[in-house]
Amino acid sequence: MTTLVVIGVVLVGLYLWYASIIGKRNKALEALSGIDVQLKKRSNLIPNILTIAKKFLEHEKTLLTDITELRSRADQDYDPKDAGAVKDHLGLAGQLAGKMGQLMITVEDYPDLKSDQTMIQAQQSYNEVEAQIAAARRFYNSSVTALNNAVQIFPGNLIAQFAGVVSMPFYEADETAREPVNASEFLD
Amino acid sequence: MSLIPNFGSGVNFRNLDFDIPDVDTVGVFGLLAGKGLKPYDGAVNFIEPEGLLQPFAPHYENFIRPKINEFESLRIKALIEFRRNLFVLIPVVILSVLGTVFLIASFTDIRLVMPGIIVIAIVGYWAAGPVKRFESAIKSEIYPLIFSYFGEDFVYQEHGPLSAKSLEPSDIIPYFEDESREDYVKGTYKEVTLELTESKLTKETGSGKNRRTVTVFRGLFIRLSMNKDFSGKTLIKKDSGRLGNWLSDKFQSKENVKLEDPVFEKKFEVFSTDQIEARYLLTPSMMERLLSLANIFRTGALQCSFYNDKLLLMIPSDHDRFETGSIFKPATFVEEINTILKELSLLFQIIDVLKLDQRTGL
Repeated sequence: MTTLVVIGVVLVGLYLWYASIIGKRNKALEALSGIDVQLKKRSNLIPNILTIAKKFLEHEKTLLTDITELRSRADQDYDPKDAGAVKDHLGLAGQLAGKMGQLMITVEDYPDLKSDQTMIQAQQSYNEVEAQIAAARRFYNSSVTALNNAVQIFPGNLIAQFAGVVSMPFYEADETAREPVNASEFLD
Repeated sequence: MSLIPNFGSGVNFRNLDFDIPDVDTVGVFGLLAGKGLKPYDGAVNFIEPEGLLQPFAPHYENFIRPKINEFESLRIKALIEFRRNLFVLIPVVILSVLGTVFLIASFTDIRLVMPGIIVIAIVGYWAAGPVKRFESAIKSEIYPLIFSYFGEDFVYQEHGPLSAKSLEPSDIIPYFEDESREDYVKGTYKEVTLELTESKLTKETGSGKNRRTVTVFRGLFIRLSMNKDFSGKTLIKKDSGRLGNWLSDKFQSKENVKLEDPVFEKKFEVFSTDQIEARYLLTPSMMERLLSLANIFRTGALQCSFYNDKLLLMIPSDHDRFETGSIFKPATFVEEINTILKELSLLFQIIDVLKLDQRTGL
């Protein structure tokens, strides 16, 4: 009788653990879809910004082409349950953010473009969407931390393996954003 | 057009002072002796406080100084009536105390103290009537003149429309059965519309002999307009420990939002219907600003709600704000002006600290 009770308690405990891991995985997927909503908004804004910028940025064609190419690659469908695909997807989104950041800095060098009303409005909308993406990224990374802790710490790792749940990648800031700033470039 | 003055940075109204000649304040005993019943005819030399970019002196000269004579007459009239009432109140107090002592000594029942207390309360309320009416006249006639310095759209009312009932959609108003409120201020600062009221919320608990009135909130409601409409609701409440937070979470059908700032997490607990919007609002810098705000008010019990296009702040406080100066001092309104400048600077500080005038990124 005691053995049956112990087995019952263990089974209930394992089920609750399993349910908790699945709940955390679903939370991370929900957060990922939250990021995608904001990335889609940004993607929709980019053609407008590029159209305005093209008129002024004759010498920055490479940058504009890079952005167009990255945008179309970042917009492609992917499997959100495939950690590798998610990592690539978020990586592309990060690269696109980096290039857009470069574009915004370049705009500063062109006074006509910088003071163009449509460009000012487009930049305001872009900054707003970037703030939303930053918020979505914080929610996603917080959910991924909870999931990864659950699936990597014993005995959660065994249950996760049984349930087919794997760790998910963090959405990290773009590499260019983490590069040290060369102050001399600004001071010269 | 709004005439919002630019007060400059670092102005602390608490340290401001006005140069008027010292006047003996007689107090109640002096009044009984018949002192202090002459209108004040001394000069009021206004010294412009340092740091104010929009001078206050011209406003004082144009709108407030012309009221001094009228209100000095009212004040003296109120003091004469108050003095007459004191000559009734004092014997009533003495007789009530003696009567109560006699009753308790005769019947050894402590409950017999009640009739005496009730008589003193009623006569005391009646005796203070002239003072209350004078204070009310200052609030209704002088306060709007002082507030107009901050802009044409600044209004002050003794009892305004910002009821706790109307704030219930914010989801941070506790359960209450009765509300009393006073001092309502509305205006615009740096394009942010602000409303403030002092409120006391109570409810009845227990039954039969144990029935009593409990205060569930006493302090300030401050409602500020935000520059965008929120799709969800985000509440910031005092951290009530793991169990308390879990229960709040369950009862309010909102999710607990775990944020990265450990100091903020220790002091506050955040609940929201939208995890992303909560983080959009509560950026690391916004969390820092809310912590600074809690320090300004020296309260960890500060609560906030972002809802619709508003931010509601609930700040517990036992301090009575926007009170009038002493009736024993000349009606130069110096105390009232200092009080209002101090309170309004605190209100503006909230908008400055939270940077609510900024359009994006909050």
